[in-house]
Amino acid sequence: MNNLISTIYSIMIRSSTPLLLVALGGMFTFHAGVLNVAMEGLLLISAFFAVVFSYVTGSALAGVVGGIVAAVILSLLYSFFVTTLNANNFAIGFALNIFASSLTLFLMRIMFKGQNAFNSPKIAPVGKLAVTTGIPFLDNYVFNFSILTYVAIVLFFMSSFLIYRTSFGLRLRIAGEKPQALESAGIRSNVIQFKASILCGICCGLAGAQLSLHNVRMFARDMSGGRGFIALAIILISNGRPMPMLAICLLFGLFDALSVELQGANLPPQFPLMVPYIMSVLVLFVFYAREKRGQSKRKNSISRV
Amino acid sequence: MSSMTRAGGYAKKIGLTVLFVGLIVVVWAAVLFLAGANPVLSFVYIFKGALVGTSNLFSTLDLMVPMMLLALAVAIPGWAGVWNIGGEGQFLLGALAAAWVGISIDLGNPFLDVFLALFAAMVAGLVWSSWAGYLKVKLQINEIVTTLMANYIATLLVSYLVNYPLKEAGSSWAQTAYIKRPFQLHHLVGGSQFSLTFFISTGIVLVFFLLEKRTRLGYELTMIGSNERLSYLGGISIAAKRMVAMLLGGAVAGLAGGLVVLGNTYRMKEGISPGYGFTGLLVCLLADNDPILIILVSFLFAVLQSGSLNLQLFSDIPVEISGVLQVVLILFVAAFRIMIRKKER
Repeated sequence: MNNLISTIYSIMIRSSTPLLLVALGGMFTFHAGVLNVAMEGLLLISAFFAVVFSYVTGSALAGVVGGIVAAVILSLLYSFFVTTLNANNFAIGFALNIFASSLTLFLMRIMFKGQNAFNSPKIAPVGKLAVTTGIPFLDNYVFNFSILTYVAIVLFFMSSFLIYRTSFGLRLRIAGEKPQALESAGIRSNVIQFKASILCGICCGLAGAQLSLHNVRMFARDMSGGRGFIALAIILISNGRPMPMLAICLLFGLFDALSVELQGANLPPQFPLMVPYIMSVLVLFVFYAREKRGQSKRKNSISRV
Repeated sequence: MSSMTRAGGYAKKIGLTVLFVGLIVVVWAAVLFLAGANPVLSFVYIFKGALVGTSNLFSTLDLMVPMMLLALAVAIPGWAGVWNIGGEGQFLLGALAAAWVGISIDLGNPFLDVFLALFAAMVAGLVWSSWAGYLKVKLQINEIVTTLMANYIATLLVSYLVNYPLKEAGSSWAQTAYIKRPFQLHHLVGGSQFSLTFFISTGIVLVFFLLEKRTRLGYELTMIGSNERLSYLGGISIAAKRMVAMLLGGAVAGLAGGLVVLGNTYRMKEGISPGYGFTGLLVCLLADNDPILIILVSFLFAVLQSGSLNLQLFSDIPVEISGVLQVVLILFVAAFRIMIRKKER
C-alpha cells in the first residue's frame, strides 16, 4: 500500500512537471492578453530538439538549451504574427502546431531514418536530484525527482513574484487588461507581449526537455499528446492565478498517474489512456458550471433588491 | 470609385499576387534545397506524380474528398466565430458508423444502403460535435480545448472498438470486416480509387456555398462571426445559431468518414485517417472559410500530398515534406493578407 502511494506520487510529480512548466509559460502570455494556442507546438518542437542536441553533444544540458532555443524561436514567430501583424491567434497557433508536428516528423525521417520514434542510448537524459538521506519520507517524497522538477518549482515562485510584485508584471497585466493605458503612458504593449512570449518559449522549452529527456528518453511522433491544450485548460480554469494553477497541475498529474497504474490492470489500454482527456473536459465543465451558477445567483440577488 | 482606378486597383492586386506566388515558389525551393533535394527536379516529380497520367490525376482528385469536407467542417462553425478543431474525431466516428452499418445491415437496395450508411456517418459526427458545441454556447467553455480533447477521446474509442468488439475475426490487424458489396462504391477510373464520393463531396461544398451566400441562415451565421454585438441587437439568437453551425460542421466531418469507408477502404481500420482533420483545418485557414476557395485549396494540397509520394519514390525526401510546404504557404499567405488589408485602410 505504502509502495503504491509512493509510486503514484512519483508518477504524479513526474507528469505534472511539464504541465506546470507549460502552464507557467502560458500564464505570461495569458496575463499579457494573448491566449497562447501554440504551446502544443512549442512543447513538441522543444522535445524534438532537446533529443537532437542531447544525442549530438552527449550532454543533457546542451539538450535542454537546444530545446529552449527552438521553443523560443517558434514562440517569437507566433508573437510576430499575432502581436506585430495582428493575425488571428487561433489560426496562427494551429498553423504552428501543425508545423511543429510535420517539421519534427520530417526532420526525424531525414536525420535518423526513424519511422515514428527515435531512441538511442547516446541520448543523454536529464538526471534526478540524487540525494540519499536514509529517511524514507525525504528520499521518496522530497528528493530524487528530475532536476527540472526543482527548476519548475523555483520558476513557479519566481514567476508569481514577477507577475504580482514587479513593475514588469504590472505592465504585463495592464497590457492584457487595458493596453490603451500603457500606450498613453508611453509604453508599447507589443514589446511587453514579445517579452512574455520569450518567457513562454523558455518555459515550454524546459517542459519539452522534461518530456523527452526525462519522462521517456526518446522522441516519438506527436509525443506532446495534447499537453499544451491541457495546460491551456488549466490556465483557463485557474484564470492565470499561480496557486490554483499549481493545484490543478498536480491534479492532472494525479490523473496521469492513475492512467499509468490502470494500464497495468487487466483492461483494454485505450480506456486508461483516455483518462487525462476526459478529466480535462470534466474539470472544465465542473468549474464553468459552478461559475455560471454563481453568476446567476448574483444576478438574482441584485434583481430581488 | 471610377472604373479607371478600380482597374488600376485590380492590376495592382494581380501584380501583387503574381509577385507573391513567385515568392512562395522561391521559399518552397529553399525548403527543398535545405532538405537536400534539387528543387527544380522536386517540383517536376511533384507535378508528375500528382497530375500526369489518368491514375495519378484521379488519385489526386480522390484525395480532395476528405480534405474538402473536413475544411468545410471547420468553415461552417467558423462563419459564426466558433472553432471546430474536432474534425478528426468526428471523421473517425462517422467512418466507424458507416462501417458498422455496412457490416451489419442490408436493406436489399444499393441506393438505400449507401444512403443509410452515409446518414449514420453524419449522425455520428453530429452527435460527437454536439457536446462541445453545447458546452460552448451554454457555459462558454473554450471550444478549442474541448473539441481537441474530443479528438483524442474519439481516436482511443475507435481504437478500442476496432481492436476488440468490432475486430474482424481471425485478422491480425486492428480493422473491421469488409462492408457488404452493395455498400462498396465502384472505382470509376482504373488505377485510382476515384468514385462517386468526389461528386458527392463537391456537391456538398457547393450546397454550403449557396447556403452561405443565399439563405437567411448563412447570412445570420456570417453576421454573428463578423459582428456579434450587432447581430445580438438585430435579434439573432446567437447561441442557437452557433449550435446549429457546430452540428452542421460535425455532420459534414462525419460524412467525410462515411465516404472514405464506402469509397476507399471498404472497412474501418486503425489509422484510417493520416491526419485529415488537421489538413482540413489548414485548407480552411488558407481558404478563409470560403467554400469555393476550399475546393481550390484542397486541389492544391492534394497535388502537394500525392506529388510528394512520388517525390519520396525518386529522392531521399520523405513524404512529410508536403506538410511543411503547406504550413509555410499558410504563414506567408496570412502575412500577405494582413499587408493587403493594411494597405487598403
